[in-house]
Amino acid sequence: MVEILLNGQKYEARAGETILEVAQRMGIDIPTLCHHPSVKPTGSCRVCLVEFSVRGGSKKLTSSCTYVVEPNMSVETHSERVLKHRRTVLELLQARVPDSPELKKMAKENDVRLDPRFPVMKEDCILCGLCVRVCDEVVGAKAIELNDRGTKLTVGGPFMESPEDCIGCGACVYVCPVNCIKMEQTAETRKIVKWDRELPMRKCETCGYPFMPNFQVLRFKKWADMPGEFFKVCPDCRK
Amino acid sequence: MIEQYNVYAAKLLPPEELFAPGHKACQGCAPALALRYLLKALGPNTIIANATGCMEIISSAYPDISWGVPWIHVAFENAAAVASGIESGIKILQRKGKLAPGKINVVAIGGDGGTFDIGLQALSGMLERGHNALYLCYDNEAYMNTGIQRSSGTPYGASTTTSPAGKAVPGQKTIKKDLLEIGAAHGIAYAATACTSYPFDFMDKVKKAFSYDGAKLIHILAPCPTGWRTNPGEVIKHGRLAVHTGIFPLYEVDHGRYKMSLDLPFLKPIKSYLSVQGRYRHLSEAQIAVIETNLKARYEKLQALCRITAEV
Repeated sequence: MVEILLNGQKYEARAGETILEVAQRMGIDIPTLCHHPSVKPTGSCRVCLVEFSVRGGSKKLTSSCTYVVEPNMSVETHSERVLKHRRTVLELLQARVPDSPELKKMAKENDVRLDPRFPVMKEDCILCGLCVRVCDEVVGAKAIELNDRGTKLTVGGPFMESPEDCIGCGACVYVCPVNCIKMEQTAETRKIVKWDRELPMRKCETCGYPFMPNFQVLRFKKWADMPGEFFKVCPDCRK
Repeated sequence: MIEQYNVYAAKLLPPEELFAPGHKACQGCAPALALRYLLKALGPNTIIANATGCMEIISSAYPDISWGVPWIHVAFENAAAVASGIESGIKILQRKGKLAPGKINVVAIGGDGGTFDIGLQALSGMLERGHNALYLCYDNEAYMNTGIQRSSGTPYGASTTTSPAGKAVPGQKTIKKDLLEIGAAHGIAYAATACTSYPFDFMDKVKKAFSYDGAKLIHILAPCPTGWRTNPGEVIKHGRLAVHTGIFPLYEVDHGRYKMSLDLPFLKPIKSYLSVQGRYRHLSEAQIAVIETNLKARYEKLQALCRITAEV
């Protein structure tokens, strides 16, 4: 157990917990974009900034999702300095992705100024890399990745081509904090628009209903060591 | 568009359980699943007013309780009225500065009996006054808690203890009341149907409902293996069949705009849904034909409504 001061109040944190985890457990609202409890934190969006000092030392800013609590730590989640920097981060994100309702809502909650000071880029992705981490750690497909570096950073399949390992599970679609990954499905194909990946659907042999992409079946046969007959019919027709 | 999250997205749900396991529900209870998904979508900042019914009984048998959020058991008829009161109370306390500002989700929960029959007046009041609260009706299509008596949510032909199938009477004689149309007719911000077999769709709808101010209504079909006389291990399958056969279409009414949640390539034959349930086993071909005509007419009407309101 580690005792920390969170906004002037004493809390007991478990050893190895991050500041964000303690705050969320105690009901203190810190905005996040790239954080998800199922994957390892990277602290790439910088929205969850907090101010901390250890043993009354100098105050520093850090991303709360990556910083593990220390003894005698004092954390401020909503101080003037934190709010100022958080507003700047949100302003920059807004300049990059101006049309996202999620970002707009977050900006409104944090009193971000409406006229952008920075050149507007009209992108749709904030490059937080959450989809990449989910595809790697949760799905295990490792189909997409962050390509290039610095200002040229992009997200997509290797060499920015359609990812051949993508099974079309939709985990990236579900997890994206700004909803920029879209999925289109018809009776014949399922398409993940952002990755430009189109997968033909498998139809149930009994009822004819398209229930999963063919490529997913191939992968599951390999990963789960299942007999091929299992995937010939949809879950509703399986005996 | 909602069946796609069928494999890995489930691992990305919040791990904490605010509706604790160990409650007294029957095996394969889908309404209990609905509550679990509801609280996963809303988080701990929620207050619930729960009308008498299965979910109230099974979750609060003295001295245990399953709820990890503030929860009030209210009488059969006034869950919506109590939720309205909670919402108004929060508003006043926050205005006076006695309660910290912030969003608190208020939910009223009722079964189909507590919503279609007994609580309809209070529900109508809540929707009409526009309280910022959600009414969740979990619909297992009869009064299951007291021993499967018919309600106005029981579909045509179903055999219950008060509409038993025999030589003279072939089960329930009336068609199911269309609750969502009643709710949407109040001109509320958001109304939607959901099904426990589509958890992501349901959770998205709950989140979407709370992104709007004003009253909202969600009607979730939750198969009850005890009352439907089905195999408790197959409730998810039966919920999915209800959607695929078109007997319970998933759609939403967002500020008057109808939208289908799931674009079905075709409707499966209704027999695949009816034949697996003991409550329908007496049905004759003529009755199945009646059910089929009714559901096709309703499905086409919904599709037409979607087309018309999309342009408005």
